[in-house]
Amino acid sequence: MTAAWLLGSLMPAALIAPAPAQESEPQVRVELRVMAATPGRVIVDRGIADGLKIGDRVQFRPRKGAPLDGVIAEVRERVATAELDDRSAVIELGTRGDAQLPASRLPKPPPMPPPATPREVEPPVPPSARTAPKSGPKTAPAADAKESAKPAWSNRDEGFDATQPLLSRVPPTRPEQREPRWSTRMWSSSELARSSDGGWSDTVARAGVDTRAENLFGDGGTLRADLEFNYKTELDDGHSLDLLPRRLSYANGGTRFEPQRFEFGRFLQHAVPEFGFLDGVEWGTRTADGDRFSASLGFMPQLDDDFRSFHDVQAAAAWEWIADESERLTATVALQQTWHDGELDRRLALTRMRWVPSSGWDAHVATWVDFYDGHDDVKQQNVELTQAIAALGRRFDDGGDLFLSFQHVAFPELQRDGEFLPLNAATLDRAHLDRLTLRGRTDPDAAFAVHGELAGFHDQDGSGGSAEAGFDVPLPVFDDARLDVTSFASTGTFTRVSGFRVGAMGSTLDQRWDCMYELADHRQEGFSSRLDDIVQHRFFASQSFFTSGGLRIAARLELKVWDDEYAWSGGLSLERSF
Amino acid sequence: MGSTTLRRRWRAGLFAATAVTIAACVGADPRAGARHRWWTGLGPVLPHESFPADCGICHEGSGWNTMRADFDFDHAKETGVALEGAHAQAQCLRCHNDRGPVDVFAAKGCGGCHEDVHGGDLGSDCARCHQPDTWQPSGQLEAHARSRFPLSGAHSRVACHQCHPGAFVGNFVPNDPSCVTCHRADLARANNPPHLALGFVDRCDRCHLPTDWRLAESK
Repeated sequence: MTAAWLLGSLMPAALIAPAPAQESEPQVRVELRVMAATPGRVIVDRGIADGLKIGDRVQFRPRKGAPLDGVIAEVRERVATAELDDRSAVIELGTRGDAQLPASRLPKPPPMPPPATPREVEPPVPPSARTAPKSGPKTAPAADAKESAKPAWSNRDEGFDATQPLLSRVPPTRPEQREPRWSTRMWSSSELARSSDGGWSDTVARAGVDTRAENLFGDGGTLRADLEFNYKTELDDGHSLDLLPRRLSYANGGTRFEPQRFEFGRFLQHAVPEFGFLDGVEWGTRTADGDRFSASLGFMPQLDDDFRSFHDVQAAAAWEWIADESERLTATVALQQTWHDGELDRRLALTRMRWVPSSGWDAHVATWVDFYDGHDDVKQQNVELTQAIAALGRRFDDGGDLFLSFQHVAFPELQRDGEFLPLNAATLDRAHLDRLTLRGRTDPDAAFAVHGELAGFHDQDGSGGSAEAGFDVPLPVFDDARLDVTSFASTGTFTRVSGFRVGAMGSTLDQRWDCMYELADHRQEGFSSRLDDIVQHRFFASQSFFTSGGLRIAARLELKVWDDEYAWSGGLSLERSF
Repeated sequence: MGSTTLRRRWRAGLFAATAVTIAACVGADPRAGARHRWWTGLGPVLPHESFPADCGICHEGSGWNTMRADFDFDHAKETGVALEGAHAQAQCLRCHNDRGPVDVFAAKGCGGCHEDVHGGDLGSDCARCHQPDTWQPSGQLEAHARSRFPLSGAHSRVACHQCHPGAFVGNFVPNDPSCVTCHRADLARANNPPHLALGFVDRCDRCHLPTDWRLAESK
């Protein structure tokens, strides 16, 4: 009885009592717009800066149909996520809506600037000022007086000035806010080669697909699969048909929004591709300075046509130093340790530097240093520079360029199969190659363009080099076509070559054609009989078509004639990206 | 491998090639021919700060996420950067995406966007072998003519993977030019005369020419 009386007394009191002060506060309407949408959820272009909080009610007004209500579920500085009451509803992007917010949440409008001269920039327009109704709350006179005593407003919000057309930046959507998206490249190709030499033949046929699915699981990640069937003639005249799974991996992060990145599955290592493919996991992170750290662990597939895995384990770590946010100067130090069938195999240190100043220069240096610990049969030294590449280039505004490069190759002693062809011990110990190359060309679209290359090499058996020079001019009969004439000479390990080639090439938006004739004398070193000279003719023609739907069809034909022999090869390839 | 197994695998490969070919030719393309079309859901990834004030230049009036049917963005004219070859067909998002400002990546050349499947072995000058039209390489014989191992006679006709077994996975690390590097199996079965027994294990060029392995001449 007492409880019932108490309840009966309080209910009318509750109904007639004044609302809490918060509820009676003047409300302002903040307009917003849908940036991204999935069933039942939308991303809007207003956030904390505009006064939104979790739990705020919002209403959207689609062009067609009744208004839809929702509630703010997540909020960031300039964007927010709203859940619709109707969880199955899908709202068109760009749909307008609004939220009724307490006026106190909005920042106070800035004081009026002093009278502007015509050349001065316009004052900033905060979002709240753009969205507040004319009947919105006014600042108290006392507060106005206090504000006016402050220095004049000088901050240019978001860098906006009168010369810029849009009122605000558009916050980009995050990968996880977009609809799932597929992109695919499919290809098939076949190439046949036949020779008069004892009926020798070579056949290669390939068919594959490389596909990526973005945001398939709603977390912004990318699933990638790259598979290829190939059928080919082996060196022993046998044949093989293989399924080559080059990729099957899932990656996430590493964007401007997410400094952490991980990838697992079969993939080419992202931070240090020099370390090769991996069946495992790679993790990386970017610091506030832009530097990147990464580590990877897993099995290494053999880098040959079998691509077999699970014999070699590797662990690697890398640090990439970034000079500034333009990333025009970077340097990388990376370490890799591998085990072959459970035994220590390769200990590799890799350094890499890249400098690409805006003036057209391009400098690139990379070194591979192998450390041997005494368990190796041939390599006695503790440290060996097994590979080095250095290049300095300059690209000119007219399209011409000039490059100087150096390459050093030695062969590391590895238990791992596939990366290098096996060498006998004596060759492995001595074999190396040092090569210096200078090449350049003038504006390739000029009425008369020249190109050339000069190179020299030194290896364990001697030295040699090559020289090449040529010019190309527009073909008068065809549009967008050029004629190229090049002469060349080289001294190799076994062969001296000299000759020339004449080629023509034309291309438009939807096709490209090439044809070429080459005549060269291949003189075998040390032979004095009729067999020492091979005069070799080579004819080549190809035609490619491209469609706007991403389809590319190409055909090529090549004929080589030397002494009493000849060989021809033909190929057809088809590729489509969508 | 038995001939039956090989035939079965060959049929499987032929079937795969045919399926890929048909799918590539007639498969539905959700964005057929409209390389600059904007999908619902992509959202405003491209920065618009410097765009002209008239949205109607690019967008349909009924929705900002739909590009005009006659919209054709002249990348060279508008940005000063020409899109060569296959890049002219690429979707905007292939370059303008979540990695960051595109000029950071463009400054690095091909490697700014395309991963190096050669593992750094071939340097950073991709244009030595690749054209912007397609990733299929060209000019390998010309490149070999500049190397210490020009491809003469019989060597000029063989497929790349015969000497570079990692060709299908991008492994073109240089080989030592010694004959046995590739012809180890030929050496092992050379019985007339018995090469291994006689110690003929290197410097094959003392007798053999690259025109035909069977020809030999004593010097």
